[in-house]
Amino acid sequence: MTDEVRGGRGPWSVDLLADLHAGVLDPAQSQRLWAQVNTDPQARAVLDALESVRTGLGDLGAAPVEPMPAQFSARLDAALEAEARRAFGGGVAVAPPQNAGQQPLPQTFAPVVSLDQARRRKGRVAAWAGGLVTAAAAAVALAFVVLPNTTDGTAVPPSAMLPGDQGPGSERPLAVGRGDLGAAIGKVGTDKDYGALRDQAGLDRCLRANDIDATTAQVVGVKPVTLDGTPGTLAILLPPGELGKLQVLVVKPDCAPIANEVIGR
Amino acid sequence: MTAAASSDADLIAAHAAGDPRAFAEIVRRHRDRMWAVALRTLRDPEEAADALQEAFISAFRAAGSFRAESQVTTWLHRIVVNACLDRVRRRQARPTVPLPETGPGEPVTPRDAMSERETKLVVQTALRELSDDQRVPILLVDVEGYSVAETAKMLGIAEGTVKSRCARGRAKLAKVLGHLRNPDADANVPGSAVDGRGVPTRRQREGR
Repeated sequence: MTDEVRGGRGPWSVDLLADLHAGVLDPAQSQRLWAQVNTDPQARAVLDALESVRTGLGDLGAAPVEPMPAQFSARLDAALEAEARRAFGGGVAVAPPQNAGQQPLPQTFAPVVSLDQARRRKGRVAAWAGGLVTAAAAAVALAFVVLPNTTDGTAVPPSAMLPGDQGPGSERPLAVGRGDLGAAIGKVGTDKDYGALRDQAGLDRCLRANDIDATTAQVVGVKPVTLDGTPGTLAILLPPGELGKLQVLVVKPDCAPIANEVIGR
Repeated sequence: MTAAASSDADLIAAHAAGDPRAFAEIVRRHRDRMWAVALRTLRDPEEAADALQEAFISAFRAAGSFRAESQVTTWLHRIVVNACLDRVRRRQARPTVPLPETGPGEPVTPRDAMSERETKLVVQTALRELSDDQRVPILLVDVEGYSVAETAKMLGIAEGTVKSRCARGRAKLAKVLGHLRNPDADANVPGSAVDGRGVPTRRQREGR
């Protein structure tokens, strides 16, 4: 609240008149002030100015809009395609209620995530990926925050869990020690070998199961590993909004986390 | 179904029933309007794009719970606004961007000399002068048309706080937009302060 009215008429504080105009004041005070300002041209001029502001703002809301810039709309389309693929594609987690018997989407639904995410933020991923080997070779220790691992229970259809199935193209799992995840980053690099998770959809399922937004996650590399002897799949991610850091998630085929750490400079 | 000829509600129902293309049509119809909402609220295009993506993904997943009695646009709008508000809350500490061209109280080009587009740009620019605390309630109430009660609920603050922040924000905008020549004076605004051009007949709208 601002100045009190001095005398029966102004001078009036602009803030007081704005409060009156916005209905901030209690009804009795408001009624009294309206009676006064309505007979005061100077006060009315201020109120007209405030009303003019409201009118301009209202016009802004009703005005024709500019189209969403192409680079952003393309990114949005890619993310929604990814979501549609997850929802309607075969065996993925977020299925709509009546999806049984739904035909798989045609191939126009691109294999998602890595490509469209790589487009995001103009090469930030590429820049990071390029620096990974260097970082690892230099044995740069990146400190990682262990996140609580909560599984949402909706993410893992049993049919999608195929323990022991390393998928096509898998190589011998990389042996990794829990205390040596920084060095493992350099060995995984930008490879995309999903191992027991089979494909990007399988990885996305595990990301969600570990409270990571699969729609925005930027995956740098994926590789089957054994972490201190336990088989799993290691994924390197760029944590959103944390430049200079990497997130290492190691999960079992059922998405149970073995390691989940943010390694940062 | 022929998506282009369907109503929004039909498309939502088709999406919930498993039509993989129905939601894309919803997005195509509403994307630009929602983009404007996100950009106004967040100001930063990159952040607005991220918020809009989050919102549409959220809507995609929640479409099954959409109630047909409400408008799809209203439902979508609310989801977009909430996604933006989440981001505003996360960045509360960020300083506001000052106006580069005009200082507070400095008159701008007379309204009647502007095209509609110029007026829109001036108002958008003036909004950048406000802190998030003032700008967001004003956007929700005055631009997007939410009631004070709805705005208070969305922001998690009292209705009186919404009104007060709107009042402060409008007073500042009146100064920035040049409607008040002597904005810092504590009262008697000179008669010449408001030139009368473009000023509508006053309606005593005390909040909504």
